Amino acid sequence: MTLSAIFFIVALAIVIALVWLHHARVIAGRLPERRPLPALTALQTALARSAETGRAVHLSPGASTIGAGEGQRASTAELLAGLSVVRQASEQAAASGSAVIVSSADAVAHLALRGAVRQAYRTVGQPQAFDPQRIELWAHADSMAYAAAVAAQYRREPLEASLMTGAFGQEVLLAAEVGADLQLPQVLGSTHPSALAVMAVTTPHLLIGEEIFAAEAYLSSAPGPQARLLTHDALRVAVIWLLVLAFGYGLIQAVFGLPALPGW
Amino acid sequence: MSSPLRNPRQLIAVLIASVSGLIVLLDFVDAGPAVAVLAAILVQWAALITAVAVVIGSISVLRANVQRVRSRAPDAIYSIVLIAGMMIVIVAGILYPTRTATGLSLPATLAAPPIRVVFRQIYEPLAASLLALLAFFALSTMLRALRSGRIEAVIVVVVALLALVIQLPPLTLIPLIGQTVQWLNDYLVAAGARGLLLGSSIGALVAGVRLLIGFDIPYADR
Repeated sequence: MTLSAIFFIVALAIVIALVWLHHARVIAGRLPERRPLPALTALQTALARSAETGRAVHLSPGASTIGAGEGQRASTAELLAGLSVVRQASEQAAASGSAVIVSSADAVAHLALRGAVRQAYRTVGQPQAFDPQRIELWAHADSMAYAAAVAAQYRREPLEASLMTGAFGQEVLLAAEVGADLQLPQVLGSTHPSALAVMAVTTPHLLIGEEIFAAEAYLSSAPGPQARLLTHDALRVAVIWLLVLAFGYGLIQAVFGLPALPGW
Repeated sequence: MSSPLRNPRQLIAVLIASVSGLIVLLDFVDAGPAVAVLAAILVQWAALITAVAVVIGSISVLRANVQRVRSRAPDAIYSIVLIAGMMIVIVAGILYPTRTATGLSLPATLAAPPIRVVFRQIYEPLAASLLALLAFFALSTMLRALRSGRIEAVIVVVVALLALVIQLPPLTLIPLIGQTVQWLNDYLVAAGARGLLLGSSIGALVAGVRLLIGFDIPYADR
């Protein structure tokens, strides 16, 4: 086994231990402190308004596919984060009697979405309000076609708001620009810099990078998302400290003639 | 939420997901030939499930659009185009026989002549047109952002314009401009992108590990 494989297994064991620890902390009632995310407040406001106006809120878990292969940008995690956010938003919609239209750009994600949204309606005791026809597959493995389909939906049906968080590229502009033109409140989030640039220009309600992974904890009080947020914060602090220490070592290493860090 | 330990159906689902995930993960770190064989089988199964999901998804798309046509929705014409496109691709990709040295045969891959022609003549020009449209959309977005006066939007637009202008061929001849752009790309842009990537990777790692050890079970039907 190579050194990098051993390092990988040790790092994985540490992460698993941290996940366990934080899950226990949350179960014991020690919840994380959260800074406000205005984009999610806008989503909750839109969901509440939707119950009054009757206009649907569009929900999307991103334009990526589950199980990106060789040469493709791995985006399964972003899609799973998007699915979690859609599920929580659906739960709030089901509780308040708001209408939703849920779309996806991947056949497997489409099936997962149907299960997640149905589950959301069952959780709040409204299984009869679940309409499977409002969960639509608009494209498969083609993010450009999906963005065009979202734009067409914006034009076709008056919507209360649109939530699109997950893996997007710059093609999201096709949909976001139409939404901005129609003055549709849009909550957009991505981890891709080129998508974030066009999202920042089209909407003030933006989830940047890791915020799409944290979003579920803001929409749900369940222990799982809270524990995930705690672990995420702890690991981020650890990585920042590692970077600072490596930087400091890099400064003194040349002065004192110390060995260089591997790969530095 | 019920615990998987108290629900045998969930426990089986969690065990299958965790063991499968662990085998594929271990394969990434060269854990031996047995793990590699198992991981390859699991990945093949996943591909098969994806193929079945695509068929189910296609039926769902077809049903939704047939419904639109039958209810004479205002935009039913687009549904007719979609259904026609779907049929053309299915026939050209699966059922259209072509003459080969050994007689007539059905297309074996998506690179076979009939479906390749459909992709080259219809799909690729359409995709390229959509991509080209992005330039006009970007212009419209830029004007709207400047009109709105929103500070973040204006900053993005101004930086984008600056980046465009300083990369014009005459300006790159001016001393220091080229080096400054390179420095900005190497340090400021790369630092921002790496920060974003690190945050997202940690989020993905935590989400993955929680799935792996069964703390999050989004696939379970509760």
